[in-house]
Amino acid sequence: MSGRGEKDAGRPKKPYTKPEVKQVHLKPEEAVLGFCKETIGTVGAGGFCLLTCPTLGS
Amino acid sequence: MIECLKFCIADITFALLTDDPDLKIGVDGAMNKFLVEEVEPDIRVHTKWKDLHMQIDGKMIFDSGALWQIYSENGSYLFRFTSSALGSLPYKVASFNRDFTNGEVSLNRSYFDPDKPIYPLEYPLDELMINNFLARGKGVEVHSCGIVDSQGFGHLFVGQSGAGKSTIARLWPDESDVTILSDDRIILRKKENTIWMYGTPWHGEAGLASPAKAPLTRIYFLKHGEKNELVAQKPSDSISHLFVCSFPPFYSGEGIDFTLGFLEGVVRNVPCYELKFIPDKSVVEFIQEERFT
Repeated sequence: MSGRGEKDAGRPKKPYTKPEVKQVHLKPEEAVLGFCKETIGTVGAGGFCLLTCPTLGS
Repeated sequence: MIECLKFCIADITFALLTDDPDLKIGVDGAMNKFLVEEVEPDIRVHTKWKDLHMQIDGKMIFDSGALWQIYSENGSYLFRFTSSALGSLPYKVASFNRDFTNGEVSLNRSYFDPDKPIYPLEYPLDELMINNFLARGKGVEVHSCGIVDSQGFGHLFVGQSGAGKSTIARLWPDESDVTILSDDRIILRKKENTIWMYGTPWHGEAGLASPAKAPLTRIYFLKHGEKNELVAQKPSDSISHLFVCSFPPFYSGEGIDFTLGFLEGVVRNVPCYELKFIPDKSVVEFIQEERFT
C-alpha cells in the first residue's frame, strides 16, 4: 500500500509560505440592512422611508 | 375575502395576504416586475392593522442600529421597526417562524394613510425576510451588479458603495440581448452544480432591476484604476471579499456558517478576479475580450 511518501516521490516541494492574516474591511452600515441607501427607488411603495430616513436631504 | 399578492425573487415565491377590508395592499416601482400569478408560495405573510405597544416580550438578539431590532420570542423571530422621527412606538412589527416560511406583519394604523395602498414588506423588511430564508441553506445575496452578456454569460461585479457597480451597469450596451439583472443586489443560488445569479428589485442609483437569471461565469471585485486590468484572486481572498459584500444574519451562527460554506463553493467553481477599471466603455470591451482567454 503506497503511503504519502511514495506518492510525493519525485515532486518538487513547494516553498513554505508563512500564513498571514489579512484584514478585509466590513462596513456595518452596508452589511446590515436598513440603513438609507440614498436611492429613492429602493424605498418602496408608500415612500415610507421618506418619513423615517434620518439622512433625507443630506 | 382574502386579498393576495404573490412575488418571485430568485426562485423564492412569497405570498402577501390580508383579510382586513380596511387594509389595501399594493406595490409599485421595481417590485412590480417580480409579481407572479398562481404559484404555491415558499413563504406566506399575513398582514393586518394592530395597535402596537412599546414593550416586546422576548429577548432582543440583535439591534441593527438603524430602523429595526430582532427578538426571539416563543420559538419565533420578531422584527420591530421604529424611527426616532415617528416616536417611540413601533410603526411595524413582523414575526416569522424559525424557518421563515410563515410570517405576520402588524402595521400601526396611526403611521399609515389607510386610503392608499400599502406595501407591508417595504424595505428593509422584504430583503430581511429573503436573506433570512436564503441563510437556511438556499443561497446568498451579494452587494453587486449582475450583467448577462449577449452570449448568455453571467458577470458579477462586486463592491461596496462607491466601488462603481452602477457605473459599470450604465456602460454596457443598451441592447436587447444584454440584460442588467441589478445594479446593486444579486442573489446567488446553486442548482444542480451550477451557480446561478438572480436579479432582485433592490436596485441602486441606475435603477436597474430584472427578475431574470443566468449561470454565473465570472466574478470581478471592483477597484478604480488607471487602466483596465484583471488580477486573479486566491480562493481565501475571494471568500473574504464576497463575505463583506453579503448580508448574512449576524445573529445566527448557523446562518453565518452556511454563508461562508456557500461562498466557498462559489469561489471554487467560478473564477474570481480583481478588476481595476477605467469608468468608460473600454472596460466593457476589455471584459468581453478577456472572457475568451
